[in-house]
Amino acid sequence: MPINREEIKLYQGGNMKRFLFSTAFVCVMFLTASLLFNSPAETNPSSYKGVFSGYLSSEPSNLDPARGVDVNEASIQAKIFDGLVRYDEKMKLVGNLADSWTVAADGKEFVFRLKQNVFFHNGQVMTASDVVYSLNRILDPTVGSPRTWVLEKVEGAAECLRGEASTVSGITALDDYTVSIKLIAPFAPFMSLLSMPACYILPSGNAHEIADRSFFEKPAGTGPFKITDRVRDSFVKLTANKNYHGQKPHLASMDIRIIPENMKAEMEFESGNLDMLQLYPANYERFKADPDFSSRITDVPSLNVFYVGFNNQVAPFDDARVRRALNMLVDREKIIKAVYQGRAIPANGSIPPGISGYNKDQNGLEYNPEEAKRLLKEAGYSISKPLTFDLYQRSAQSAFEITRLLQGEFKKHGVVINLKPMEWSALKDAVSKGEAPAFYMSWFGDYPDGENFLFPLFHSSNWGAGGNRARFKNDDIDHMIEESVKIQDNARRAEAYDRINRKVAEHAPWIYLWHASESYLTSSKVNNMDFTPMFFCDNALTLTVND
Amino acid sequence: MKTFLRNLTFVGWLSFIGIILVFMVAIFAPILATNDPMETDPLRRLSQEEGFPLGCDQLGQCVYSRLIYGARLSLIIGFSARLSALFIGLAVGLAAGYAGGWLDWFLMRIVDMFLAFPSLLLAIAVSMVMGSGIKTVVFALAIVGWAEMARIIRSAALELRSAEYVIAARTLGASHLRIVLTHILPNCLPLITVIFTMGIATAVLSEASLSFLGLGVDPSLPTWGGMVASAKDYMLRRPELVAYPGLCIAFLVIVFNVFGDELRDILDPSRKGNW
Amino acid sequence: MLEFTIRRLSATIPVLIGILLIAFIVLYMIPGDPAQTIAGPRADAATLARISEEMGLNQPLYQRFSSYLSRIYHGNLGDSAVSGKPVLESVIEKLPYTLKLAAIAMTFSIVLGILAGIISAITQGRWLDRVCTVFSVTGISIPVFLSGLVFLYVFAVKFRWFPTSGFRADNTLMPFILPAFTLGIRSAAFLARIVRSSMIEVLNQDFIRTARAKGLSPARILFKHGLVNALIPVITVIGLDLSSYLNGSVIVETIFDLPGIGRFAMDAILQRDYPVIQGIVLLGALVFILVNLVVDLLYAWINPKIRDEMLGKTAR
Repeated sequence: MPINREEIKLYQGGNMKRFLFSTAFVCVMFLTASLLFNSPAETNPSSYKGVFSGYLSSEPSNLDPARGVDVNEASIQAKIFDGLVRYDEKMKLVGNLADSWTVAADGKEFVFRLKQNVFFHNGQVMTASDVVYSLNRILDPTVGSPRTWVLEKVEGAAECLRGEASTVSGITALDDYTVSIKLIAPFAPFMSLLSMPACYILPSGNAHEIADRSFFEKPAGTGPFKITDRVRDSFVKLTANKNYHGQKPHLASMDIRIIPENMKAEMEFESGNLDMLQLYPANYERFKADPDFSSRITDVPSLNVFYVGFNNQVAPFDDARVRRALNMLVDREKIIKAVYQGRAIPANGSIPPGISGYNKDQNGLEYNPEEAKRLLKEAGYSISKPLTFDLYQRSAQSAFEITRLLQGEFKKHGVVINLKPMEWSALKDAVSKGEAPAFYMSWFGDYPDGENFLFPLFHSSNWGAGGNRARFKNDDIDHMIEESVKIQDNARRAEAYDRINRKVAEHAPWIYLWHASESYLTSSKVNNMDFTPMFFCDNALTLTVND
Repeated sequence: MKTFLRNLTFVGWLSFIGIILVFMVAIFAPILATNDPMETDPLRRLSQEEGFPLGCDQLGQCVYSRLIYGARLSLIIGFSARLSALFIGLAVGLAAGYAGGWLDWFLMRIVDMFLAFPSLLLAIAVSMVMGSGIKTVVFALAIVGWAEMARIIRSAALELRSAEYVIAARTLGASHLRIVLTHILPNCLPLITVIFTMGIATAVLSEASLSFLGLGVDPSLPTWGGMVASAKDYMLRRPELVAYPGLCIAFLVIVFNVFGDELRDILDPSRKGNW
Repeated sequence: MLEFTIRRLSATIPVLIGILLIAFIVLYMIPGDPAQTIAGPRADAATLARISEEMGLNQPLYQRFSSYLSRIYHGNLGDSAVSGKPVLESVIEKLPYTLKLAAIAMTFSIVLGILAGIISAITQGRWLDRVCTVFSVTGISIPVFLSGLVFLYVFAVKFRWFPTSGFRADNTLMPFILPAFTLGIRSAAFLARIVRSSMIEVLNQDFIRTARAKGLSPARILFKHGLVNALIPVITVIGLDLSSYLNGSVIVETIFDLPGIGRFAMDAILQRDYPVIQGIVLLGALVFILVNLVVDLLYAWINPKIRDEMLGKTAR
C-alpha cells in the first residue's frame, strides 16, 4: 500500500540521471537533528540562528498532504505540518499533536488526547475539529486523494468513499481536544499509518481556500517551520515558527532549492552554496577519497528494497525453477562492491534491516551459477536455446547503471536480456497491466512496519498498481498476511512477518537485489545533524548551522 | 566529379578527408575496436586497464571501442534520418512547386505548421509516442527535418516550372510525372546534394541532443550523445569521459558542415556564403 | 500592402489550427494514462474513472479537440495536471526568465555575430577572416548541451567566475550570463556567416565603389552604406532564430537550472502534463508564426519589389 518512492517522483524534469533510490528526495528530509547534549525540550538555547541551504531534486509542486504522492513534497510538508503522532529520530513512535492516546482492548478504537494552545501559522487555534476535518478530507471523494488506503480500515470509510455518507462515522470529536477513531477490524500497524504525511492536520478555518487549492501555494500548518517565500522550480524558503508547540527549532531559516541535476548539486556544494549533498555512485568515491570531505559523510541505512520483478503469471516466469535460477545468477556482492562501494546489503527477502520481520539468514537464492544452470536446463533452456526476455525499466541513467550490469552478467551465463527503457508513467502502466514480463524497480517504505513490505507487494488483492506488480498469488500467503496484522504484540507480529517473508522467498517472485544505503555529505557549518531512514520523519528540529 | 574535386579549396579537402576518415572508422569499426563496445564488467568500473586505450566507463565498457562504434551509429542514423526527410521533402516540394495553385497553397501550409513547431519538443514528443529505438529516432528526425527540405525544393521547382525547356516539354505533350522526373528533378540535384549534406550535420546534432536527454536510442548502444549523457554525472571526476564523445560529435558535424558549404559554393554558386 | 497583409494573414490561421491539431494528436498517442498519473499508484478504478471523466478523457477524440479549441479561443489553456495551476499563469510566471535569457542571448549573438561578420568581410581571405570562419563553423557544429557543460565546467567550476545555477535568478544578471552565452553562440555563428556574405556582396556593388572613388572614409562607407544594406537579411535571421531559443532553452535551462519555459516544458513532458505541453507548444508555434508574420510584413513594407514578387507567386 505504500507508495513507492521512486514512483512518486521520478518524473523530474530534464533530469537525466539520478540514482534510483535517491531519485526522489534529496537531502533535507533526512536530517533529523540529534540531541547531542540530550537537552530537555523546554529549553531552547539557540535564538534562531543560521540558515541551512538544502535542496530537493524536483519541485514540490503539490503541498497538499492528502494529494501528495511525492517524497520531495513530503519533505517540505513534514516541516510545515504536524500529524497526531510521528516517528522520532530513533524511529520510535511518539505523540505530536496528540499528547497521549489509548487503544481499546479489541484493537478497534483509538482515542487521542490533543495538545492545547497549538496554533496554526495563520493564528488559528488547533482543535479536534481540525483533526476530524483533515482526516475526513482524505476520504472525501471530491478531493480525489491517492492515499485513501491509509484510512480504508476506518469505520464508515467505504460509505464516504462511495459518496453514500458525507462524513466518516468512525472519526469523531469527543470534545474540543479529544478525537476517537474506530476501525472495522483490528489492524496493528494503524498508528504507523497515522504518522504518514497524508494524515497531517490542516486548519479547518481555511476550508474554502483548501478546496480551491489556493491554500497550498504557501500553506499554513502547525509545524516548526513556515513557508515565507517560494518561487516554483527555484526555491522554497522556510522560516522558524517561534510559536511552535514542541521543542523549538534552532535554525532561523532553511533555503530549500530545487536542483534536478546531481551534477549541479555537486558543483553547488563545492562552491559552498549548499550545506548538504546526497552522494551517488558517481561522486561517492571522489568525496570519500578526499580527507577534507570523508569525515563528513554519513551513510544511512534506508528502508527500501531493489528488485527485478517477474510477471509470475506468464511464461517463462510462471515456472519457479526459472525464477530461482535467475536469482542464483546474480552476484550481488560483486555489483554492490562496484556500484555502491559496499553501501548496500544483499536482499534475501523484501523486508529491509531495521524493520520488524527482517532476518539476515540466507534464503537459498544466493549466487550459485552451477545450480542455476541445472535449474535452467531442467526448465528446458540451454546454450542453443537460451532463455531470452525483455526487462522493462525506467529510462534513466541511474537505472541503466544497474540493468546494464545485470544484462552483462546474465549474458556471461547464456541468458539474454533485452532492455526496454520507458518513461516512468509508461513503465508504470505497462507493469500494472501485466505487459512487462520482467522489470527493474524498487520499493521504499512508507512506515516502519513489516506489513508495508508484505501486504502491498505480495497479497493477491494488490495486483498491479496496488503494489503486487509481480502478480504473485498464493492463498496460503494471502491468509498468513491477513492474520499477521491482527497480532497486537510487536514481537509476535515480527515473527509472523519473518515467516511470511521467508515463505515468499521460496517462490522467488522477484530477483531480490539489495537494500541500499543513502549517503550524505554535510558542510563544515552543519552540526547536530541526525539522519533517519524515513523521509517524513525529519523536521530539522535540532539541526544547527554556524554562521 | 573531377572538376568538382579540382574546385575544392584546401579547407574543402580537409573536410572531405575528414568525412572519408569517419566513414572508414565506421566501416572498419570491428577491426579498429579493441573490445566489445557493449561488454560490461563491474570490476572494471572506471579503471585504466591495459587493453583499454582510453580506459573504461562506470559500467566497465571500453570507452575507445564505444567511440569507434559510435561513428557507425551516428552515420547510420544521420543518413537514414536525412534520406527519409529527403523523400518526404522531395515529394511535397516537387508537387507543390510544380503544380502550384491551391495544392501549393495547401502543402505549404502544412510545411509552415511543421516549421512552426519547436523542433526539439516535436522530436521529443514523437520519441515518447514511439518508445526508444533507432527507428524512432530516425522517424522523429525525419518528421522534424522534412519541412525545411520541402520548402527549399519547392522554391527551386517553382522557378524551373517556367523554364523554357519545361514549357517546351509540356507543349510536346509530356506527362507531368515525366516532366518532373526528367526535367525538374535532375535540375534540382545540385541543390539536393547540398541540403542533404548539411542536413546530415543537423541530424547528427539532433540525435545527440535526444540521446543526451535520454530520449534517443537504447543507451546500451554506443552513441556519442548517450555517452555524454551517461558520463555527465562523472564529469567532475573524469571530465575526459564527457570530452571524448563531445569532440567526436563536434568533429563529425564540423566536417559535414564545411563540406556542405564547399559543395554549395561549387554546385550552387548563386547562394554562395549563405547557410 | 493591404492585399498582401490579408493574404499573409489568411495563410496564418489554418496553420495555427493545424498546429493545434498536430500537437493534440501527438499527445493523444503518447503512452501512459494521465488519469493514473494524477491519481497516484494506489488509486482504485472508481477514482480513475472519475478523474478521466473530469479531464474529459472519455469523450471521443474530435469532441475533446473541439472543446480544446473553444477553450483556447477563450484564452484558457487549461490547468496543469500536476500542480493544478492554470497553464497560462505558470507560463506567464516563467516567461520572464526565458525572455531575459533570450534577450541576453540575442544581445550576445547580435554583437558577436555582426562584429565577427564585419571583421571577416573587411579582412576577406586574410588570417583574421579565417579565425572568424573557424569560430562560426565551430559555433554552429557544437551541440548546445556540450558547450553548456564545457562552459559550466570551465567558467563556473574551475574559475568560479559565474554561479553554477540560476538560484534566485530574478535578483541578478550573473546566473544568466553563462546560459545566455551558450544559447547565443550558435546564432552568433550563423549571423557571422550571413553578415559576412551580405557585406561582401554589398561592398562589391557599384554604389560603394562610387562612394569609395569619391574619397569617402572607409569607416563611413562601411557603416553608412555597407552595414545598413547588409542588415536586411540579418533581420530575417534574427527573427527566425527566435524560435530556436525555445528549443535551446529546453537544454540550457535544464543544464543551468533556470526556472524558465524550457525547463517547464521538459518537466511537463516527463510528467505527462498534457495541458502544459499543449500550452507551451502552442506558445512556441505562436511566437514563431507571429515573428515570421512581422518579419514578412516589415520586409514587404521596406521592399515593395519583394511584396510584388510574393503576391505574384503565392504568399509564403
